Amino acid sequence: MSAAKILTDLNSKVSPDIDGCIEDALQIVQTDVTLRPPKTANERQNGFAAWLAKEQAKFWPAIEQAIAQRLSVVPASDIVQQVYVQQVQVEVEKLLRTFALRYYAGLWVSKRMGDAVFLQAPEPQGDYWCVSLGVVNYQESVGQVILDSEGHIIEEQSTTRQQLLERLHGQPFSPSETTARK
Amino acid sequence: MVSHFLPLRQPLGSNRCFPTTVLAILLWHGETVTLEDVSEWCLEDQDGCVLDLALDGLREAGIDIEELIAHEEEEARSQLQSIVGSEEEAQPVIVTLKNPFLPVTGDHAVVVLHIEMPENEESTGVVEYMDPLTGEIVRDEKGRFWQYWGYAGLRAFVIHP
Repeated sequence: MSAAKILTDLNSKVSPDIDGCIEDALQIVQTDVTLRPPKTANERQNGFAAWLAKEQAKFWPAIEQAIAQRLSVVPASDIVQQVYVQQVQVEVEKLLRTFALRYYAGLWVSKRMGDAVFLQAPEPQGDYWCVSLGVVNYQESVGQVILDSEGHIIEEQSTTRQQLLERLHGQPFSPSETTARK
Repeated sequence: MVSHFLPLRQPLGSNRCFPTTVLAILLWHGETVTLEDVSEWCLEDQDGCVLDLALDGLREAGIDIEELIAHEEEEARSQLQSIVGSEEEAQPVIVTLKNPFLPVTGDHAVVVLHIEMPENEESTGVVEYMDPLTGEIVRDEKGRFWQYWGYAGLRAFVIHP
């Protein structure tokens, strides 16, 4: 593919080749079994900045290769870098941030909610991130977990189990009684 | 390696993975229990189980549950391996898994039965576990198990009747 065509695609809203580059890059991240969430204070600070940089650097060789192959250009060419920076990087970063935020939201939810609860992708909400909660067989969101940019839960703004159950069943929640083992 | 373990399948379309894993282990220990018993002890309702409430319920029902505590993945792996790989008394261990890239799933409980630690840096080792979703023994050689377990918080439980 010519550089001119690629540059035209870069400025176009619809480009199957650029979309393909994004899909390839996300696939590379999603199939990497060594990916782990940011856990140290250093990795979490400034919106996971150090962790995001480290992971993106790790994935870059494979993504560079995939973009070059998709566009039929030389891997080390400027055009590959340009496609990555202008179109692909933002999606890779979004996927990695989703991975990190859903990890922390998931730990919080699994301690408090039922195992039928699942988490949607985080959405920005002012200075925070909002992860909507769903429940199998319910169409609508049944609650939310609010996190700061480092993955700390803002408990007072997040849905409690009682609120979730009241939303599901339309009545105040009363815990089941435990049956003693015979 | 845990031997003579009978895989169980959770009822189709249900969220009963955790009670099914507990039942499978209790049956392996020779207990006479049903899924309904375990479900009741786990305080399971139509919305599934809350893991910590389920554990409390099981303890109140007289079942001894040992939770493995480890903050780092390496330490957790080592603990898990030492229990399922014990030469004298290998025990099945319930762990929870979560797929990081599949949003429409919660934590999923499985029973770990066998672990082969990696022999070199390229290898991820082998993990065999009972998946109650299919009722089959899954063999993971790609390291997916370790990622999913870590993503679910490295929780692991040994059940003693």
